Amino acid sequence: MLEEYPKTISLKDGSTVICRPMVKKDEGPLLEFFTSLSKADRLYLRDDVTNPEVVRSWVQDLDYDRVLPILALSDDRVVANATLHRNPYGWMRHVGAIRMVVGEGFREKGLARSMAAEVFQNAIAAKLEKITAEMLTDQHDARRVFSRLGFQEEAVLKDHVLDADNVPHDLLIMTNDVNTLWQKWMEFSESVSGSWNMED
Amino acid sequence: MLLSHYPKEIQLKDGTSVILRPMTRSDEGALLDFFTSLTDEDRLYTRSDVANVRVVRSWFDQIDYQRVFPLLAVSGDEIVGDATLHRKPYSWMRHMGGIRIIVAPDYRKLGLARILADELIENAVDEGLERLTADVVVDQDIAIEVFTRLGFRKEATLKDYVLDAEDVKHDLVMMTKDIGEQS
Repeated sequence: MLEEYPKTISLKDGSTVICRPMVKKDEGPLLEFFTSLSKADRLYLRDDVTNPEVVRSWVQDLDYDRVLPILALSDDRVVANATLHRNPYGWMRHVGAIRMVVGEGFREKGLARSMAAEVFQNAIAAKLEKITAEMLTDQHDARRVFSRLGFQEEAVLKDHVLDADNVPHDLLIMTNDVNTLWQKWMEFSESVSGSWNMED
Repeated sequence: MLLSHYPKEIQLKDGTSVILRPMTRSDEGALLDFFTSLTDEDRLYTRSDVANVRVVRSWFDQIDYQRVFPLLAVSGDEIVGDATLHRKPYSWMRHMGGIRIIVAPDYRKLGLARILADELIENAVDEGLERLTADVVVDQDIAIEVFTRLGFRKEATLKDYVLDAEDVKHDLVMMTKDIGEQS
């Protein structure tokens, strides 16, 4: 699977980005990407990405079997980051979690869908059976995107999340069987363009 | 963490005393022995594959009590209980702590699990955490009973989230307990 990278992704506006797994030398560009996000975007991120120590630990402890980070790059700048999280030696070894952040100038161009497709294909290659996505109940856009991909709302955990301003929020766990996911992608792909470059 | 509280000697229901103290690097061998002493049935439902030496060793590579605080119950040179408090300090779950407890077969029904849980709760409160979670497999009646007695309640059931050591799927029950100032 990893030997297929780097790949070129075509966006709706005709521009292209390169996507590939993150490597150690991406530390600087990744930190720049996160600090370029608006405060509103960062409010609901799982990790404090403005803390250089946090980003450094991700880059220094790279282990694709645990966390596979896929970057989208435009002119050597990181414009999106999608990750597949696994725990290969635990009781959740059949489950993968997806997380994704897309940069401001690259939204509504189908990039999130393409990045999700990369993560899902890697999940299938890793023989995972279930994918989870966690978001705040208030993140309506994310809920809509994952619902359209066949994700079901599995549980709501009250006040499980503290946002960057220390306001508590409920956490929504959505899950999808990898087999169902694959079918949805195929249907969606055929109905739209017959290619992997998804466009809404 | 309340490191100055340890080592601490405690008495079990049958009068035996054990020492509680945080895990250090030198405990690697003893911890591996402890996990091998568990029955197959015990290991069926452990969150991590504790029979895998590499998994257990990896815990010793980066001991960081702010992320994982492992509190051991020790009798002589032998580990008889392992309780851990798991946190994600720079994340949106920085107010939460996860609790995991394993007690050696010969030391069960002596109140040790409860003592270990109380110690972790005390540490969590001291750290300013607001809520604790404990994940158990839906069929683990005893674990559910222990956590219920400690004031945990079932928050959510996640279908087929657990694959046991024999690759059979089970539902995961997430239990939570509020420990914040308002609770």
